[in-house]
Parts: sequence; C-alpha cells; structure tokens
Amino acid sequence: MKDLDTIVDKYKNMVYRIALVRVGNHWDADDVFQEVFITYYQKAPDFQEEEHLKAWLINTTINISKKVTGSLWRKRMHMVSDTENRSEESYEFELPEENEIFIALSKLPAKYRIVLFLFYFEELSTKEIAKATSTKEGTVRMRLTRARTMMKDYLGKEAF
Amino acid sequence: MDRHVLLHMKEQMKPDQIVVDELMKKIEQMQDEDTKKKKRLYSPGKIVATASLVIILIIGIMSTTPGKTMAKTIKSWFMPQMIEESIEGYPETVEMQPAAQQNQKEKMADYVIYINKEIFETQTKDGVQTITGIDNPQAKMTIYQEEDIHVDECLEKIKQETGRNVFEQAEALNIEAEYQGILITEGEKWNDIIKRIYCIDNGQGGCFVIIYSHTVEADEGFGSRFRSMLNTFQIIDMKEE
Repeated sequence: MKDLDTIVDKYKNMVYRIALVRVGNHWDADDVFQEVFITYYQKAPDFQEEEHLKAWLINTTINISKKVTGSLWRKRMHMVSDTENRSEESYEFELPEENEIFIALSKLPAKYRIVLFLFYFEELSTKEIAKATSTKEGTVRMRLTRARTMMKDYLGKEAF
Repeated sequence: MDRHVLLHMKEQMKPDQIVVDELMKKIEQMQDEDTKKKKRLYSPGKIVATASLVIILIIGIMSTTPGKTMAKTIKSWFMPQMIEESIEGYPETVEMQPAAQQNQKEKMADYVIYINKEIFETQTKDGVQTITGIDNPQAKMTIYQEEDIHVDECLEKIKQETGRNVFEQAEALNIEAEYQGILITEGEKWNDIIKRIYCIDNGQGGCFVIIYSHTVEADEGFGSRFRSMLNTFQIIDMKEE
C-alpha cells in the first residue's frame, strides 16, 4: 500500500467532489470522503498502476455515496427535512451561474449525473469512466448524451 | 460551457481542512489499534494453542474417508447457496436455488447452476435449459451442449453464424473448466440488446454453449445477476450419487 498521507493529499479533492456531486450536500460528502480513505486503509489494496488506484477511489466513492443516500436512516431524515421545508440538497458557490449549474446537475438521475461530472469536471475519458464505474464504454456514451439533453432542458440552453 | 466556469466550480469543491485532519486522526488511531492487536496476537500462549489446533485438524482430515468427502460434496450441490451480487453497484446477498441437469447421452455432462428463483424462472426442453426474468422476458439465458467439438472450434462456428467480423471479449468467469467468451452489442441505445456467448469444455469431448442477453440499460441489473449465476456453474457427475 502506498503512503496514505500522499494518497489523501493527492486525491482528497477529487474524492470530495465526486462525493458532493453524488450526495448533493457537504454534510454527507464529508462522511463519504472520510469513509473512502478509511476503506482504503482497511483493505490496503496494492495497485501497480496509478490509474488503477484512481479508478478504485472513484468506484469506492460512488459505492459509499450510494450507501449513504440509500440508507433508511437518511431517507427518513430526508422526509423530515422536506416537511420542515429545508432543502438538504444544497451547496453554495460564489457565482449565481455556478449555483444554477449545480442545481441542474443535482436534478439529473444519479447514474447520468456522475458520468457527466466525471467527463466534464474530472476530465476522464469515456474509457476511464467505464472502467471506474464498472460499465461498458457504450453505456457511458449513451448516458453522456442523455445527460447533456437533460441539462439543456433544465438550464434552458446548451450547457455541455 | 465555459471551461473557466467549470474550473472555478471545481476549485470551490474541496473538503474543509478540519474534516481532513479528523480523517488523519481516525487513521492514526486505527494504526495504533492494529499495532496493539498484532502484539496480542503473537503472544506465546496463543502460538502454542494455534499449533495444537492445526495438528488436531490435520489428524481429522487424514482420518476422513474419500467416500465421506464425496458424499458431502454431492449433497452440497443440492443445497441453496447464499451468493453475493452487485446490482446497480449495490452489493446484495441473495439465496440461490440449484437447478441441476442430468443428461442421458453418454457424451454429455451433468451440471448444476444456482438461480435466484424470485427473479428468474427456468425450464428445460429437448436438452436446452432456459432461464428467463419473471418480469422481464428479454433477460434470458440458454444452456445447451454440443457433442464432439472443442471450445475454440465451437466459438468459431458461433462467430461465423453471427455474420460479424469484430467481437469484444466477454467478462472472465470464475469457473474451473476451459472456456472462451464473446460479447455482441447490437447498438448503444438503452433498449438495444447485449448478448454474451460462452463455450465451456464439458469434459466429454464437447462443450456447453451458454448464451445470455438483455438490454443495454439492464447491464448492471440483469447483466450482473446473470454473471453471478454463471459463476456458480459447475460440471458434476450425478451418476456418482
């Protein structure tokens, strides 16, 4: 296993961003972020290639995020916060245009959102996304096309 | 989309330093715990106890007759198994029921495959077993055998029948027998069909042909279930029972 400090330092922002986009708020993103690196410590996977480590981190972040958003406890909490008229799905950016994009992104179904994010924000190729998300490259391309169309509908303009 | 906007958004999405520090503290605590555990694990008393247990186990294994072991193995073919699947990325442990097939012909092998009967139904007709999604008949697996043909030859024959020139390699299987597999995608739309074809050596000079197909969109759902099922596939000899 590589030196954990170095790995955390190198990938902390990427893991956090993916978690944030997948779960939609910084409280859950903080939890996912910590759990990903704790899982890395516990499993101590040995990767020969840096790209395999990166793919593992992306895949683990997505899976842990799914676990967090899919948990019964969170669903209950979500229902309570809805009734109290509080929006949990929020993250404040500096510019209004950025907030608009993030809100539109949050409206996409998770599997489209993550593909779009990895492609445009993390600048991964469709091949890399397919590997990291354990899907086929064709499926990734199809999801990208659909995600772009949905973003256009939500923003009222060509976004990506 | 302006690339600068994306970059600016990216820069803002980062964990608080407090959260990072908290993580590093947790990991340090775990490292300390692990070091303490290791020290406890290698105490002289434990080493003596473990060695005694290993000796008892070796004597136990050596005194078991082959007949007893075989009977236990055969019995285990017909027991349900708890299998872990990954459905849409979620790990899920499900109980799978055995569907064992005994073949009458001399050059054909018996086999067992475990099926999640809440999701799939199965029937066998004229030596062809079909496993179909109860609510999704498009998700389908067929298993049959070809006599007197090697795995490579069998796959080549199937490739020619498809009329295509280019094939992707199908996912590796976790089975003992020699096999080859191809993947055919009919398109990239959500409802286009993905088909995987495997030729598996049946140990009798022929091979099993296992084909499963479903829509592109179901690749992480039904596709994943089929892959888990296929990894339970075993060639057995039911005559020995």
